[in-house]
Amino acid sequence: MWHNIVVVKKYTKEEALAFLRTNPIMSAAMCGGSDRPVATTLLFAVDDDFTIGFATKVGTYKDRALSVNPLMSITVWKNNEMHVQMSGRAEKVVDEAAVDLLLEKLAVSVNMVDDFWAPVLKYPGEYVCYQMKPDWVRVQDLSSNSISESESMFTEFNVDNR
Amino acid sequence: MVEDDEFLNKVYEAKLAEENFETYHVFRGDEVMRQVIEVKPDLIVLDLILPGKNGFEVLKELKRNIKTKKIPVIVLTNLSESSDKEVIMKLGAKIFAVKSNLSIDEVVGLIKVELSS
Repeated sequence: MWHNIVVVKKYTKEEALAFLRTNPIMSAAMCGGSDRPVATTLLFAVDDDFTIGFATKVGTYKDRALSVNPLMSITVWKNNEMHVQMSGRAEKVVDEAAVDLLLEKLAVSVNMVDDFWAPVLKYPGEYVCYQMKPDWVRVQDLSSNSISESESMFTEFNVDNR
Repeated sequence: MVEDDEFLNKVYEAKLAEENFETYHVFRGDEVMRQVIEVKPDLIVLDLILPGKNGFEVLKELKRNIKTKKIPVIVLTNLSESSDKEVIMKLGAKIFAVKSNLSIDEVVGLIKVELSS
């Protein structure tokens, strides 16, 4: 009798961060400003503690939604590689030097994607920057090409932002 | 780079640094002459809609000044009217390009071509 042995990869924080840095576009869901949730795609930059930084323009749906309800959930995935999920609370970045630093990191993120004009660059208006400190982070292995019934495909990381 | 969008400036800077270019930024039209005379750049990439002084006036000034008139200027703008292009080329720009028609790599390509010619 043959047994199919499935190896589920467990990731380290460093591996998850490296994945996020090379795949800097996320789907982000938020629910504020109306009763309906909305999902959007956003360019982001990630810090070593999984803090996610992003920018939009003042007065966009995202800006208005987060000012009403700062809770958001994000996901980043790449087929046959990894799927990262996070939830947390977004805060507006107001310090001028911190905004400058975040825009620098986002500029590096833009250039990680071939021929990419981030939509935020295409519209006029003043930038508003946010940082989401996650209180929940988990990574799913997408590299295994068979189904495991016994082992979880998720690696959950402890983050100190609860 | 004469561009008032701080994020776009950083995007160009990061991309050009990868290609070993040193960049200087000016955010306002009325600061261009002073900076250009001080820095003596090999090339100027100029936006047209700027605070302080618009890009048309800046280009006119650059081309009138003996210290700056030979520096090639690429105009990179969101204005896409052919009349704007005509005026800009008459004022002495080397290239008139519409931002929304180019990728960042293509902008870098234009800069490289202009610097090697």
